[in-house]
Amino acid sequence: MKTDDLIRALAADREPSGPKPGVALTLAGAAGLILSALLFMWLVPLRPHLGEVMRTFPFMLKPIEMGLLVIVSAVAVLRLAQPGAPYARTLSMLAAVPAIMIAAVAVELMQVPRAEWMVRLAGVHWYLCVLNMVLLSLPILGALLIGLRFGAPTQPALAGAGAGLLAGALAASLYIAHCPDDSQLFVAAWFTLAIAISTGIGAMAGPRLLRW
Amino acid sequence: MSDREAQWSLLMRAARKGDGAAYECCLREIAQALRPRVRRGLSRTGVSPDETEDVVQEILIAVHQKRQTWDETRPIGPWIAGIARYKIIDAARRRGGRIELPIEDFAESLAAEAEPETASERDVSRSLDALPEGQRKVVRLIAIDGASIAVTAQTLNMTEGAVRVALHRGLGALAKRHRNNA
Repeated sequence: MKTDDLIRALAADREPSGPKPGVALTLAGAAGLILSALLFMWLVPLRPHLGEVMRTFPFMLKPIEMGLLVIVSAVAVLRLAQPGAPYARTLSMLAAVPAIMIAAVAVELMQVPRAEWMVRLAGVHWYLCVLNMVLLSLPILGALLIGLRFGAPTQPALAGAGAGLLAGALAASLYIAHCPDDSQLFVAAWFTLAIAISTGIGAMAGPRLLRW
Repeated sequence: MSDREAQWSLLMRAARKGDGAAYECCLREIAQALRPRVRRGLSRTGVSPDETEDVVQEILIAVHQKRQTWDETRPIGPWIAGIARYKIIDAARRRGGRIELPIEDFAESLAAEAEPETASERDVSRSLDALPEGQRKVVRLIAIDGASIAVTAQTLNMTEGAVRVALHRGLGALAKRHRNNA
């Protein structure tokens, strides 16, 4: 077929071209989040006295950090779904989250006696925390990858990683409602590890699932 | 933004409001601008320039199928360049070429030059033969014979809705076939 002929056929095709990436990703993310919230309720109980704990400073840092991560990574994913949309500056803004964590850890190390550092780092059950957060991220990651297929990610590995990062941050945000550990040492180690794992899964899934 | 990009942007906006002629014009302009870039991109990745027209067609189908991913508040040039670059790398990978492609020269001057389809009558490999019969007839009538949806429906004794669906699916199948082999 000649290119002119192809163009004629393309122009004649007026079937709708699917939802915009922002709409598709929002719906997919919301669906995944609902699934993960159900999984969360089945998996672990809410933290006792959550209402009171919520107003204490060491607790509050967690939703602030995760909320920031959610917002910035969501913007990055949306941009990575659209060819030609700049994303480098958005990615560089992600550095704000580890910066906050490092500062908070430094403050904690200064305030807490050395003997207690390891206790705080290990928390109540760090391995369960990592495992649960990774599990909770999977439905969200799956949904976001489906959402990304409605976009046109020109860097599938990076887009997948972004989806994994967003899924991990959302899963961690859910898990905050259970996690009894408020130490920033704990958060900086295990939240980070769990989110890194979901980011890695996304990066590996991207090139396989996001081709178009 | 260059004049040419501004024009594409206008045409694409009109197309989104349902102006089919503007859309066709937009795709033709984009095809002309793509050709020299695609040829250069392919030769840089070690793929024969004979594949140019084939890859241009792949890019056009992608632009069509992914047209909802252009955000009207952003310049259209980088959007098209992004799709083109992705498809050139994809084509090179499937044809065993190198897969690195510097972005700079590509994104900047996409809009600067133009080249009509070469006079060589070599029919590109994107043939309709692989399509199921119903889709093939519809695509052939509309693409090659230039028939309208209504005329095609009459000729093939189908409803216009069925023609639209067959056309849409046929184009989707053409794109998919190319992703899977080539």
